[in-house]
Amino acid sequence: MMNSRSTRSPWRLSGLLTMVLSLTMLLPAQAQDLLDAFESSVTEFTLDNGLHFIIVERPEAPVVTFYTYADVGSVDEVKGITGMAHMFEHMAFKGTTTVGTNDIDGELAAMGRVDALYTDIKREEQQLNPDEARLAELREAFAAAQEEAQSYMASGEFDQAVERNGGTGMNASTFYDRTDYFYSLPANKAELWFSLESDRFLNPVLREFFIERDVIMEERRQRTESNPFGRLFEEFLSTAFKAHPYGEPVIGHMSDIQSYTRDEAEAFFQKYYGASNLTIAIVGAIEPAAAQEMAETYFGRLPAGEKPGPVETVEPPQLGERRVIIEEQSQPLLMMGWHKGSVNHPDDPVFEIMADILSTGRTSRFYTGLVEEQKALQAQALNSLAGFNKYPNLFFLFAVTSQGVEPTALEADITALIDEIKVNGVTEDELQRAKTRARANLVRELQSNSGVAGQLAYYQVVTGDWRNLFNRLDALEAVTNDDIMRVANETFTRRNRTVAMIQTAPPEMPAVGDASGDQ
Amino acid sequence: MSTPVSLADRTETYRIGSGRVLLTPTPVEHIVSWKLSFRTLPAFAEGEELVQELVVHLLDKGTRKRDRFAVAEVLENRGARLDFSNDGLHVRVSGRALRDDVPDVLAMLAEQLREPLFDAQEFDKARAQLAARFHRSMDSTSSQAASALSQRLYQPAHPNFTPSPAEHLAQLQTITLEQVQAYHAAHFGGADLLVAAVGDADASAFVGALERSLGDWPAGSTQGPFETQGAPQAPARVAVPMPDKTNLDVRLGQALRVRRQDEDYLPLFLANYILGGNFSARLMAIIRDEMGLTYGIRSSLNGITTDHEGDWRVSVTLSQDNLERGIEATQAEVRRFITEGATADELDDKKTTALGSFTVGMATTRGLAAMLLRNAERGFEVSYLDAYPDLIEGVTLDQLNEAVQRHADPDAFHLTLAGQLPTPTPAEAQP
Repeated sequence: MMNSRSTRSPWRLSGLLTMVLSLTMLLPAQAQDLLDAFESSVTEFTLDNGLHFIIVERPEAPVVTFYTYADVGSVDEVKGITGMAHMFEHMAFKGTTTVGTNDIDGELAAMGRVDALYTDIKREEQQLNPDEARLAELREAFAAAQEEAQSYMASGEFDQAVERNGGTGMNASTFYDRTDYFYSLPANKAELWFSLESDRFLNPVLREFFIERDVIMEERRQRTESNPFGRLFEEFLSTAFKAHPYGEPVIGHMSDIQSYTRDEAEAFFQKYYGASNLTIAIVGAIEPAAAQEMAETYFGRLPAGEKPGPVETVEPPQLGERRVIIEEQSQPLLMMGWHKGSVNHPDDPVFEIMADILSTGRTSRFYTGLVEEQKALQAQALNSLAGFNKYPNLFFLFAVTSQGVEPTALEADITALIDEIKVNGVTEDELQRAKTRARANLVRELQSNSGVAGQLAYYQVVTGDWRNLFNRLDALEAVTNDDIMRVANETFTRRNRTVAMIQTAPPEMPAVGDASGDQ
Repeated sequence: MSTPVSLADRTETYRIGSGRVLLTPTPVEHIVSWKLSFRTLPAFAEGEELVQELVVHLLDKGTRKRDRFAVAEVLENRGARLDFSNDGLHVRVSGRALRDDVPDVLAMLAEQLREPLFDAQEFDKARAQLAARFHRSMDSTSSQAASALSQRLYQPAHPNFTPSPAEHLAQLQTITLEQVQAYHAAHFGGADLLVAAVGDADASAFVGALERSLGDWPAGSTQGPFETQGAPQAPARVAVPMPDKTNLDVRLGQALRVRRQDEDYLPLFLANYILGGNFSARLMAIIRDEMGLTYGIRSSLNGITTDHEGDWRVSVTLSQDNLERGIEATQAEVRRFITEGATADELDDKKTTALGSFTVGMATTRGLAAMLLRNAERGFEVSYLDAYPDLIEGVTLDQLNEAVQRHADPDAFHLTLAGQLPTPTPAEAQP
């Protein structure tokens, strides 16, 4: 049961948050000031197995947010198992050897029969002339075995265990280069999280595997195949990246999803979910010493595993512009991207400032030049995407055309706006506004426990130190107009660009003489 | 163990004109967050909600004293934000500023609310943007299925009625700038003005600034008639065919004779949580996790306020292949839930979930301000929020199951679906 009675007032915001808010709004603020104020509330430790913890004590509300960052995403997959990182994320909610089952031995034996039958079905299907009668028998036996395996399950027990104790916001997400798991609990239920989360990665049971595959196929149909944006985005990235796995869809190709095996998923888990590949951030009303003790007790059980190496494939320099045009009956869309460095590249802050100047707020260049002029309903520039920045990535533009505007015309307008920056740079006002907004963005993220947890874990894993969340403000502050012009001229070249668009196809008309036409 | 000071004890109430300000100081230094709303009551059956939407669109496009860029500059130079929105009966504003800037920002807000410029060019742009949104909705299976369901459940005069995107588009073409101006003059005013402010708000400065800028705001008309109940129609299945949309959006819903202040509301609120309110709810556990028929399925209590009744609906996306099986399985689970009821364990679980969400929601200043405002809009005292955990804990299994039995009928659900319907096999196509 949730407990709203705390020994501390639930309404007192911590000094560190207060200071962050104040200093950020009362400009100018130095990153070091913010960091100094924040750091006193942070406790870090690394277990013997390599699992790193970042604890931020925030006693003002009696809740704690837990955030597990797995340094694995779709970039770590290989052909044939695209989408496996996402598949495992789904499986991580299916329980363990003790959660979600009534009889683990019986269940594992039944799951073994399911897997064996699946292998037999696959083999038969791969024959040049499959024996349909045998296939029908195998499929029937497979369905029966699945039913038997399900009979041992205590369905939904993992979710219920969290919920029964007041957990909220339980979810997970898989990106190109990371996977995260998160939820919040009442402060007095923190130990439950240590117990459940460690068990989740120590003794996972990939139950209901083949049913979950169906769910993911539904997800793909919904998000990609029935969604114009999703379809175009998949084409866009696969065109922009011909070597690096950033070009593969996070959700995976349909044929790969259809053919995953449980063994493949378990092998993926064994390789990428060792303790040394996980980082955990905990933010809220929790005492660091108690957290460390529980971390050692529960997570100390996890095997270290060998820290997987980074992706070694390097996207070769692009030799010429790449274009994708989809013609269909839907809203015209335009995407443009230019190759650039990773988040750790010294020019990354320059791209962040440029993205802001181009498309943030009513005074931005895209808003005044495109939206106000009724050329675009929406136009957004992004310095990469979430979970798409550990490796060299893309500066990304996305725009929805206004009615009657062709995406090619909008592309020309956007190109002109970018060329203007290449030639004349930006104004001092624009530069200062972008820097102010960067500080405001940091403040916004720091307001919620989940925002803090996600950001600290991300900076720790991808940049090597959570403090870079704050240090980045200095890097942004140092960006000059010369930097912007230099980087714009180096990056925004035709040769380095990929363009994808949906053009509205004319409606299909009956052919001349078609008898189905109205007479 | 100390007992936390109640929200009611920490919240002061002030009058400004005919409105009310709820002010809850918290020790966040320098920053004040607030939520403001006032009732507008458009004539829904006459399409005035769309006129209201255009007014709201134009509020940050300049005032009679300064153009849109000057307005943006006033806010951006102070790191302040004002966001306008509209939910039918109310217009709402969300704001945030440094304590010392509050008077200037509130003055700016009042100027935007009371003296919008209504520039003809900006009106054309706003109309074009709304038109584009409706065009996008025409291409959205979710929007089409939801709109079709609302038309089964409500009359056009009910605030929950949603015209189809095509109807919306047609309405939009007929609206003139003069109508927008007239609507603003008639409906925007200080009647039922509510403000909830949280943070480092100095009471006299904040309330004084509001009094100066909005204290003499004349009351707008609150006479717009609207239906408060759903339309009694025989349940039906309605399809909105959409070519090339092979994933279909399905809605099952029925109107409920309940309002937010009714005794049955909280039992139904928890019942919905059990049926399809989150990941561990029955629909997700069975239709998705056990049967693998969908990626997304949920249920919700929709559009129930203290002013009018709403509905209970299930939303599910299904592929063509799984369409009929998914619908049948969903209907079966809904029927089972209504006829057999929930279990004590399920109720206990969802109580803790509901209370967990409540606590987390109040953990930020913006969340707390939003909760205070919504509570005041419902006509509840602040002490209701203090009592809320006990009210949730006090719901019994019998109350829950009886409320479900009283209000829901498994045979009364309408079904709407949008997308490309599966092509019947030759055998199915036989007469």
